[in-house]
Amino acid sequence: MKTLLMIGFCIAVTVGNAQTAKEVMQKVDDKVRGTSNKSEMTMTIVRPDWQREVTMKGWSLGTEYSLILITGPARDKGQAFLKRDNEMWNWQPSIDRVVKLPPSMMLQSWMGSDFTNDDLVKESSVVTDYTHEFDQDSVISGTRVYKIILTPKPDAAVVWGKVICYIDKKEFNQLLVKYYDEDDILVNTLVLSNVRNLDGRMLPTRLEMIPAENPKQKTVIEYKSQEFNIGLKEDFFSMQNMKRVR
Amino acid sequence: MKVIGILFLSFIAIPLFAQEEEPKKLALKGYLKDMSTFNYFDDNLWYDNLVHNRLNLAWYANPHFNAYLEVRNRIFMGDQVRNVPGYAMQVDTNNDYFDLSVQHEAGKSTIFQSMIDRAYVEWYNDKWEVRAGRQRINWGVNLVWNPNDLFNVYSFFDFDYEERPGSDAIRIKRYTGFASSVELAATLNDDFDKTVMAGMWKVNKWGYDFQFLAGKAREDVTLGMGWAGNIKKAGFKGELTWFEPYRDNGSVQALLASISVDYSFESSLYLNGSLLFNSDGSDTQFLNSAGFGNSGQLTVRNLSPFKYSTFFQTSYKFHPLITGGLAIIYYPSSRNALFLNPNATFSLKPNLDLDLIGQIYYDKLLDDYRALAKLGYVRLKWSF
Repeated sequence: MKTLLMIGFCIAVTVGNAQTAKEVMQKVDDKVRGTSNKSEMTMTIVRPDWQREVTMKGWSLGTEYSLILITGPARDKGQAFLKRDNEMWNWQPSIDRVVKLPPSMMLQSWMGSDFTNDDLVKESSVVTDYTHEFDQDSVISGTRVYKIILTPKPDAAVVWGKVICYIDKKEFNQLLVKYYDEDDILVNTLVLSNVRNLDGRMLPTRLEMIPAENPKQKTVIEYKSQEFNIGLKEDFFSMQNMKRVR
Repeated sequence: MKVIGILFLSFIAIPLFAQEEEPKKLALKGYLKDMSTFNYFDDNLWYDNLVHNRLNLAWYANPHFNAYLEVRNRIFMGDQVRNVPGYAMQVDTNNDYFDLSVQHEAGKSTIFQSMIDRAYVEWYNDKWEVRAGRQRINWGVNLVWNPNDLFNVYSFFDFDYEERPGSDAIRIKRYTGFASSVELAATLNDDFDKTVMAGMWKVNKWGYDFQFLAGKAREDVTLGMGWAGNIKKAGFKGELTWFEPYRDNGSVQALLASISVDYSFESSLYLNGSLLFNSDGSDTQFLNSAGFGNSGQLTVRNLSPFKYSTFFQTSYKFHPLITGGLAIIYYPSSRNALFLNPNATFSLKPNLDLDLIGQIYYDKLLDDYRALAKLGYVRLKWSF
């Protein structure tokens, strides 16, 4: 019996180690993203004495293509953002104008939140822009998790010095992400929760980004819906569609 | 009466649509603004108040057909209305063919004005887009000066007209790629010499958006091009347009060109620098108060009366709810004309903003260099 257990354990370890940290991240990424997806979400900027809400719809294909339509608040409703590779445009319907945005805008805060433009349009990839290594497994609220350390590749357009991801071993969901700067100081913590069924996938639907400097403030993103592998092609991400999506 | 009718209808319509989260077939949005203007000159202070309501109505009839109607209702009150002769006329001056505005003067110091500045239908499929009616045809690329904007150029000084003027026109566009298209547009006018007819080709290459245009703009034949791209992480944009009078009307050939560079730091600090060249401009021109005014009266040729105009703008988010900025326009000439435009926006509630804006203009008048115009604005805006 003991031997059997030992063998069982060995197999488990072998299977566990059979996938590299990179493969785990790839699984996580594939699950969240699909080849293409469509989502509806609410972003709330929370501060001790006030909060502001932005609602939006998003479409994406890989990390290269994304389109975001602002559906609220009233002041910004109808504006859209299109990203193709490293080009980005903003559609302003009230003046019938497409503005090409400078690349420097990617690292800026998204509409005053604790997320950057890059977080939203996902220019950088957790798979291809980093090298990955396992650290000691851990447990988060009773769930066994992998701890993976991501180090950006030298030429990657990434602001972080290091990223630590805690990943649910069964569901391959990120549950906690810690972002460090180049001096190894914690900058942001992302807490993912409310795992629900979105288009057949069990996924966290609530993301809270908390700046380490100011733990009393945070930005919360809540997914209302998400659809995966909806067959979007590259030509969906165009000037004419940026004006047409509703 | 007509004005009051439109205003009244507007307010009835709001509760019907404002609640709707998903835009269905009909969508209505807009805002209500109240702006106080403090105008200091010599030893005087004039005070004016402007109530400004905008309604944007869209009808998404079917997947290939939309119709839009947008109305701007304004009530002007105060010293400027009372003391400036012909102020009511000035408010109502524009380049439009159809008269879609009504105006009513109540007493000496109040003017009601209601104007439809967008009213067009749109038919489209994957590749084609046809629009007819009063619409905005935006061919400009730069933030402040747009020599390519042949149809409805706007004035940077006219900041309270966020939507900018439209044109009575027809436009046919064919999309040929994700950022490329060919379009033809023409304004409607009984007088051929007042029409604008032009074609534009847009193409995306080497990470740049390029555009090329040719046509006629009023009494000129025009050729132009523009681009939007980047140098490293900074945005780099430009526009040039050549004007060749096709008849002897006293005007000369002119080249208008603008170029701009902008950069946005991680801290939210934003910088924009721009230069406008007008070969037909002069050093001795006086930028009179009309230049501050009305986008509707501008054409590309009179974007700036000076040969060179320079622009610098910076803005910074001091707080997620507070953005402050400063824009400077300097006209390098013996007159050293200078325009300063400090501004701050406070988000008071999710849909309520407060703006504080200053406009100060320095120029030389009778050898005396001083601030000829000093204007302060306090504006509240509720969007719905």
